[in-house]
Amino acid sequence: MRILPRLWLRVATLLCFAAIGSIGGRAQAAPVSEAQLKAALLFNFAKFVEWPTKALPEATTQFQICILGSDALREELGTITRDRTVGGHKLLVREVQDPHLARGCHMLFVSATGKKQRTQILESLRGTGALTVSDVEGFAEQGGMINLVMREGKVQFEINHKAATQEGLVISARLLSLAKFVIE
Amino acid sequence: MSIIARMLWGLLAALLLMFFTIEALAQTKRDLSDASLEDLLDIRVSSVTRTERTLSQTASSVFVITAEDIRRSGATNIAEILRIVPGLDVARINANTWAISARGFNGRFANELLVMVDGRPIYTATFGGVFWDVLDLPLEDIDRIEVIRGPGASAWGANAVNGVISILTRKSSETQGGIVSALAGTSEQSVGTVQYGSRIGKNLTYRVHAKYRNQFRLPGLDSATGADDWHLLTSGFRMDRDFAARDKLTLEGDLYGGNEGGPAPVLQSVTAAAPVDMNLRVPLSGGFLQATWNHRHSDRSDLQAQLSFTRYKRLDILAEDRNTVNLGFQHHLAWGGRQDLVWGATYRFSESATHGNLQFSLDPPDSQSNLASLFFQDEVSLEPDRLSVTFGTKLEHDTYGGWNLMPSVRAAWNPTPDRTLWAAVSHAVRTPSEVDVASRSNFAGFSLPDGSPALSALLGNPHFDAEALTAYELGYRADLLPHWSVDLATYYNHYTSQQSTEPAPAFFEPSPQPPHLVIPITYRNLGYGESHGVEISSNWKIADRWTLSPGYAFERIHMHGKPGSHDTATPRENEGSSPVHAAQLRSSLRVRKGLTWDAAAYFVDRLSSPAVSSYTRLDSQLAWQCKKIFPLRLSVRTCCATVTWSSSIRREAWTLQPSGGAPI
Repeated sequence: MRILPRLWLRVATLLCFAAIGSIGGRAQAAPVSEAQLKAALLFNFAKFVEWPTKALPEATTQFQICILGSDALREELGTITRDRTVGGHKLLVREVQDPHLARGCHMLFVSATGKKQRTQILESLRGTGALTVSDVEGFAEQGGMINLVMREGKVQFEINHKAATQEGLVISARLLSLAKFVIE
Repeated sequence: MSIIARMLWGLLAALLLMFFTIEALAQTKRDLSDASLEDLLDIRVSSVTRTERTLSQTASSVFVITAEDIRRSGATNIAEILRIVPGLDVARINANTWAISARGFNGRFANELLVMVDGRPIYTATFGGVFWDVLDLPLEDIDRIEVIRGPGASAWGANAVNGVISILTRKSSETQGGIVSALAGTSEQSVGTVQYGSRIGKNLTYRVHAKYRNQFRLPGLDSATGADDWHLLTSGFRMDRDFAARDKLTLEGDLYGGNEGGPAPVLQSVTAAAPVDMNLRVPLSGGFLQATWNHRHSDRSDLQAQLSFTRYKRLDILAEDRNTVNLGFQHHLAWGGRQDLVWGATYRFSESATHGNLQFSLDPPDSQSNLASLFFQDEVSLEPDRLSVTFGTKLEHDTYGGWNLMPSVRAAWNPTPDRTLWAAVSHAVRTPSEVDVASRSNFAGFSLPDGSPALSALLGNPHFDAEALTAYELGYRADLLPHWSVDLATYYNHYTSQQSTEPAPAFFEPSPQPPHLVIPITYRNLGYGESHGVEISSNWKIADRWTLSPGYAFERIHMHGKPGSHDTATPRENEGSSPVHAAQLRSSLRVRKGLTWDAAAYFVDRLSSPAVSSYTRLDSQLAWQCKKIFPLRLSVRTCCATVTWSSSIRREAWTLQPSGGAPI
């Protein structure tokens, strides 16, 4: 029975430690992850782009944001868009494993891991009125619509306005003005 | 309170302390859902929170097989899929048996590879290797297979000496709907899968499947057809439940039953001069149940706990029945400004009952073993996105090998985002298996000069130590041109305390009759040596619809015996167990919309021990995918057309694979 008080002593020390740690930790500013920031941007793109009627024929059509190759981004986007709508359409965030399965997506984000499939994706989405976004450098030049680029820890974007217009997408002037580079 | 209980309490307290303190370092998340576009563009990202690391920046020799690669390889089982990894030696011994190893030391009982399915180690503690024949999950459910060549011991489980193969299955939410797949061919007579996935309520998804395989006998090297047919029925499930956004629970399991032909040498009596080749019929059965819990505390911290139970029964010459419980806990945390920490603990309990025979047995026939380990690995970003150093270690204790420490240091330098130069030094050990410590193999009976009977045998050694490896690796990975990427890995491995077989004192044995003298050899750790090699894989996108993927691996092994060792055979066997050169060329072509043609050629150099001549194998698959009316996929493939200098064997299989249910 002599051991018991020592056990409690240990538990108490441990909890003190945890408490001190938590207070110290909470005092700092919460950093933002790359995935979190990109997810917030994607949600904003949905708000500042108008889709053609053929892509969103009815008010009940779900607005699908598809993610290829980034679990973290998908999860962040899921958190941000919970119980949100875009132009009255309910939002659905889904993971796409294979470019062939990307039909039906209104916005498709392709991350660096799906690099070799980019061309294939762009081809298969032609004519569906989908907004294509990627963080792979050179995506906009290749025919993608919005290219996220990391510069010194901040995110910037380039827009291929021509590619978007061809698909019947209308990008708001505000979004165009914030882009670092626009391909007309 | 016993000493063990005190130690356990101490360990628990230490774990809790570590958990609470470092958990406290993680902060709560900032809400960005209502931030304006302008604000978002002004936020600076903390690079260390990037928990998902792209493959191009990892400081080890990683090769990822994607679901697309699997589909386009045309392979019908996991062992055959692994062929596409340059540097992984996949040798099919007969219709139901494979020898698979990375960086040498291959064989039927290759024992230096850690193989996991969804985080559950599937190698057996009996000999440290994998029964590939009972790993028969539907290939449609595999999300990806990550293959690491070289040691991965500091973060992964035990046995990760020459490589790690991690098979990850899709979440059940991604396999909703039904799949019917059927295959008919000449060598794989029939393989069929039926699967259905659905949803219960908002947060629970599941799938159930059944798969049947009927594999015909294959001709051996002497062209005579072996008694190596293989029949297996597997049924399994996976269930994923989301609790709010932070917790996820996954339950999965399977049950299988079947039988296969097992050609094996069997010694008939202690006076028999040689074993007789027998064609045993081996009943197989088993299954597993596994629960995985994931908790995302914050963006910078997540936890995983896993519990699994695995059982198998194989009535081969050892006639073994084994139960294994694995328990794992892992905490990932981004802390401070630039550190990314993973730490955790694993525990394995395994018990086995065997009924060996005169040819091969375990002594004692029943055993229980424990293995426990603690590990941590910290990645420090010295210069964000350019230079990082990862260091870590693992402390392991097991019933046969005692305590072992496995440290490693890795560094990666990215001069540009698409180029990585990496280097690593790591130490790994192979924990002794039950065969090493408790086996008894009898080779042949003979008569001593005085006419009395004697028996030559190989005995396990209870004092056999862990085999050790120190590996030095250097690699370069780059997108050299927009359409051409190259991955190069080189290594120098230094092996110590390697297994050798040495003479042991003779002893008299009264049974089995007649009483005889045993002249044994036994396992010792008197071997050492080194190996070096190069592995290259490359992707060249010639046109939008055509990709060529060449690969090449070179390896040389030099093994020696320490002074006092009488074993000259084992070093030669190890040196000759893997091909010096292996090369491959895979071509992936989209002929027209929905129609693809894939072809692959694999060259494998000759082996000197066992003597196997070099061969080139050709695989080809033509697949047509229709999505308009009903998602259907049809493919025809010819496989394993092998050409060797001595003989030419040609086998073909025709595949009919309609499948449906994938959301389009």
